[in-house]
Amino acid sequence: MARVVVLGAGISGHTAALHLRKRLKKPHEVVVVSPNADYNWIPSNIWVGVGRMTADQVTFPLAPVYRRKKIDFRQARAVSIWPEGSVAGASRPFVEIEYTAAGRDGERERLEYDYLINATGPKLNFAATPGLGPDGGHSVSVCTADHARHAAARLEAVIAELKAGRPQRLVIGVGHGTCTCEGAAFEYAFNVEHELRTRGVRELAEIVYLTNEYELGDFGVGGMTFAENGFLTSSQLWTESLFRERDVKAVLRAHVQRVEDGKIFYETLDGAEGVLPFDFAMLLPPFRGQDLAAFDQTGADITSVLFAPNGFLKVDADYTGKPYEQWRASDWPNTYANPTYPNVFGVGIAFAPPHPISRPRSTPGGTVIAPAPPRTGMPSGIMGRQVALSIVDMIQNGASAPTRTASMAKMGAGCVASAGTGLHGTAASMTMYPVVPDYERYPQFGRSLEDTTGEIGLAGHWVKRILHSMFIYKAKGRRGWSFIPE
Amino acid sequence: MTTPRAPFVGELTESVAPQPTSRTVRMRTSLPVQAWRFVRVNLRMIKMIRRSHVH
Repeated sequence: MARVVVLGAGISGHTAALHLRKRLKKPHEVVVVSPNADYNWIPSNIWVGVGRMTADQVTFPLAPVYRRKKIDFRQARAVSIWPEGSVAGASRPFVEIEYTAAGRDGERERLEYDYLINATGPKLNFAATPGLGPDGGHSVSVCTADHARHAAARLEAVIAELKAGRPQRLVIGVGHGTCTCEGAAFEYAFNVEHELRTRGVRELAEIVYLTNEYELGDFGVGGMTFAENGFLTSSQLWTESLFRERDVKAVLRAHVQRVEDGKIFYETLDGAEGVLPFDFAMLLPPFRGQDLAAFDQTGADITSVLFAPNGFLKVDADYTGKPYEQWRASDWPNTYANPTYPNVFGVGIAFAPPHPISRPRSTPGGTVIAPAPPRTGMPSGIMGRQVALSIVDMIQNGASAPTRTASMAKMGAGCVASAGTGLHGTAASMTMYPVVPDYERYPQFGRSLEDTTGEIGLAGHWVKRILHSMFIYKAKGRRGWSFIPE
Repeated sequence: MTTPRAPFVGELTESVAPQPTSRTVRMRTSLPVQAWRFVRVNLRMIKMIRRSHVH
């Protein structure tokens, strides 16, 4: 009998667990460890953040789903990984967990495994920027359903001020020079603008998009090139056009140094510093890996063997520190297995990318201002599924190594920034293939012009709304869930 | 030494990004046009999803 332990129940971990349980025969075990009781379909948090959805519409309890699927669920956080076991009483590899569920809060346990999938997602590193974030800081976030609910309440207060005739400045963007998920910040800005217009208070509101991107439309993927009406155009022009049309201002190439009550202090790539007063600020935090330690069988710390300095799990990527000009699509991982401990995998945001996708830049003083690579949504789901299938092949079919791959240089992604409710709304929809540019396959732009597109219109809003329902249905493991792609 | 103040990019006045015509803006919410675009967007997504799932 083999036991597969999945750390994390987000898009990647939950997808892996469902596929593992569907394919692994009894008595093999699938165990999911997550500190959260609920699943959160994070892409829809944006709608919660403007009050168009409730937190309950983007979350559901995990325990009943796992009970129905016969997956062993432990509401706990992982503390440390012991990939060689321990001379002090454990011959098999194990992970030490600490329960977070009421009644067992703080209780620790050793959970042995044959295969381990680390899908712990990001640690929301608000602490990297003093004053950032909703917990003791001065800005809001939409990273969790609770954060988004709080953001919606703050936005409502701003709308009340606008209705009373008092001008307000809303700053939306990223709260550090190394943040990722600029697409989410863009989507939230787009939603807030739409919401203010719908509520008849747009005139007195100034919306500022504050970003670490070198140009608008970079989105942490180095920008895109679209073929439109017989012309080649860039995601930069596409995004700038939208911002000009909607009268959204922008501060580019910015690293937020600190946030005080009503003031954002930032530095730009040329080394200049600025202060931006605000009435409402939604700034995403930078990400780092969860605080997981690793030990060998003697108890010696091997955290740096398993994890990169940013806390993300090392996998089969090329981590040699090459200059930007030498980056290749083949640097990106295929199997997501750790090179030292091949029965340990890292998927979703939890794996360490070999390098950014956007060109890295820093200020004359050395402050890095460069978007980190996005690895959420469909890519995360596909990684989870492929790693699950590899593990099934190794357990049941005699494979000696992972059989499936999921390189981000061979998969696409869709980003639909959608605003509105029901049939009415608007959206800016983008697709790209591949996520990581491959200049050997697509020498001109690194991506397929046919599959890399940008479009503005109501249709994208309908697509996003349908995707919301479809992915929640799939995540609940309802009948036919596996026919819905990741 | 005084650190220079960061430029506030502001209104994007230097942007040469094209602006949509009123007809283009209307088309973005026209139900028949968007119904057709809906089919197109979905077909494009399905194609991309299929390519991304083949490994």
